[in-house]
Amino acid sequence: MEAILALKAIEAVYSSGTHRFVKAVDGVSIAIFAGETFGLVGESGSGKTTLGKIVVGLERPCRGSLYYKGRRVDPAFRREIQMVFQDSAAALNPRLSVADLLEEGLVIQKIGDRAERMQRVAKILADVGLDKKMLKRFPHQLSGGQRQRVALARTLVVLPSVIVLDEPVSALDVTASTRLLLLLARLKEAYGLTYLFISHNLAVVLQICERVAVMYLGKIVETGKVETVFKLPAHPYTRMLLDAHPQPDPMKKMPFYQLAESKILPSTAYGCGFHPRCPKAALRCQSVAPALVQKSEGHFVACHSAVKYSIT
Amino acid sequence: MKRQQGAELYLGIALILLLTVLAVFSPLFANYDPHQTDAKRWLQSPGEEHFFGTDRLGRDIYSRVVYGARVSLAVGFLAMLFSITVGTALGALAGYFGGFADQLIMRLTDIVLVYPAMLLALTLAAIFEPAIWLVVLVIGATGWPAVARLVRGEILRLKSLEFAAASRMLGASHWRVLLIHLLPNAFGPILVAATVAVPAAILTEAGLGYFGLGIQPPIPTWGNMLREAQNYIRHAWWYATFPGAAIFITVFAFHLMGEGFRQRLDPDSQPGRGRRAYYH
Repeated sequence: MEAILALKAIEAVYSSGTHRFVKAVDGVSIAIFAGETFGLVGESGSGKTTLGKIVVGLERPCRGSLYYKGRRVDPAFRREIQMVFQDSAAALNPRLSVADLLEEGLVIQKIGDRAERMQRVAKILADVGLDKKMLKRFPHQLSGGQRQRVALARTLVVLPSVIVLDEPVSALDVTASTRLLLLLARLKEAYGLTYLFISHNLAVVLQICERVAVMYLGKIVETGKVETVFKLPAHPYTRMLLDAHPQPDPMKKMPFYQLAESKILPSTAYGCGFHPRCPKAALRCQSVAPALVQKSEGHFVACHSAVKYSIT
Repeated sequence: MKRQQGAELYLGIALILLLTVLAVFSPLFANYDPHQTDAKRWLQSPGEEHFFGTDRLGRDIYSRVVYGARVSLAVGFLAMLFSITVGTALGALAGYFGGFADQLIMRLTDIVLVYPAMLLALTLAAIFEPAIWLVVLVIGATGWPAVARLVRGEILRLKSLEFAAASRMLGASHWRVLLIHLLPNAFGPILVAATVAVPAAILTEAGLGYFGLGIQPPIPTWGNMLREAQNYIRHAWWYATFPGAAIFITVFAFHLMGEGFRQRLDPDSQPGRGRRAYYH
């Protein structure tokens, strides 16, 4: 099966002060297949949002290339790949009504006349589960869930095939979040979409994603089917993330690993980025960065200890 | 607290409307021809016949103040339009495109800003023959850098918000993002800057008039009336007082309105919270 979207060794470097650089994305390669929901998890600062922005062309990678439907695409904007942002309040122009916001994509793409455009807007508004009354409203008159639906509808108007969802439900309460996730699943069928789902909420990722990649300091440390990665985590960081996830059950066992503040130590420039926090860190981890190695069918992990265990 | 804020705005607007009516319908309010000299009645103190007294040539000061409102308000508005248009355009370009354009425009504003506005206006007015359009141009030319800085900052802030990026993703051109998404959201601060630019221009015009480099006599302006009055200030208090009061009231009214707008439009200055200055 050919990937609809393939990232090859993407790197993004930012300078922080003179002579100091941060690698937000450090050699990431992912292949996403048509119709799937691919999860991207990791803590804040792991580079997942930067990666999302590179996919839609909002940021330019320093190295690496991006393939869409097998063809290499230059890092510019592509109608077929859209993004829904985390903060829906900032993602909608406060001075435009919902009707204007939804129509914009069609106006830009010069599709139809005003009547045709409004017809299409009305259909998509209904598809995202919003009432016609909303057309006259302004973003500040909407709830968080409604705003997120408008943001989603805004991208659907131009009929994309891939949507990057950056923490789409993190600002919503549990019921609003569940409804939005159900809507996302429905829209995926109706519009034939592929999602790149960025989240720090593992429960949500487990619920809607087929495959997942775990990012740590700009690198993918583990990737595979959601069930495999979450049930049999091979990387200590994945395990730590799963343990750190709050469980609404006081009888659940205490976290296996204590969470430490993420530190970018100078030594991580050579070794594994995770070794300062890793309970299994060995001497080798300080000097040699582990490569992403296949552990089982479709399950890759970048950890010396995990691979060693699988061999012995 | 809320009432008080509203009151500032409305008092300012009311005074400005009054002044505008005075300027537009000057002939109806003036009871004398402002150019009519009367050698027998020079330097008369205010009375029933001449409300504000007469000047050294026996001209009615009240009528001259009323006609002076025309010049002051016209210069104020036109200079404001000039500096707001130029400042907004350059500030928006600098803030949005950044890089070389930003460097170029901001260094240009620095050059104009380091030069004291009055001195620059004086120099320009001294080089060229003072005419009303030139005075407008000169004042506008010193006023735009402050606007450019303000707009640049607003555009920089707005540009970082995601709705600009979201629109770019849909295929919007840079111009569309700038004109439809960013500039309308900078409307509030620009409006406040505009209301403050008018009195600043009026003051500069009065200052130029005072130095004899503004609009030339016999056209009555508050500035050149003050200049004429300075030699008589000890003998005829009314000569300088009324044009001075006119300047004061006009500037005061615009500042009231500007402050009122600022409080309305700036969510940071709700009662009981810290204020943020938009314009200096």
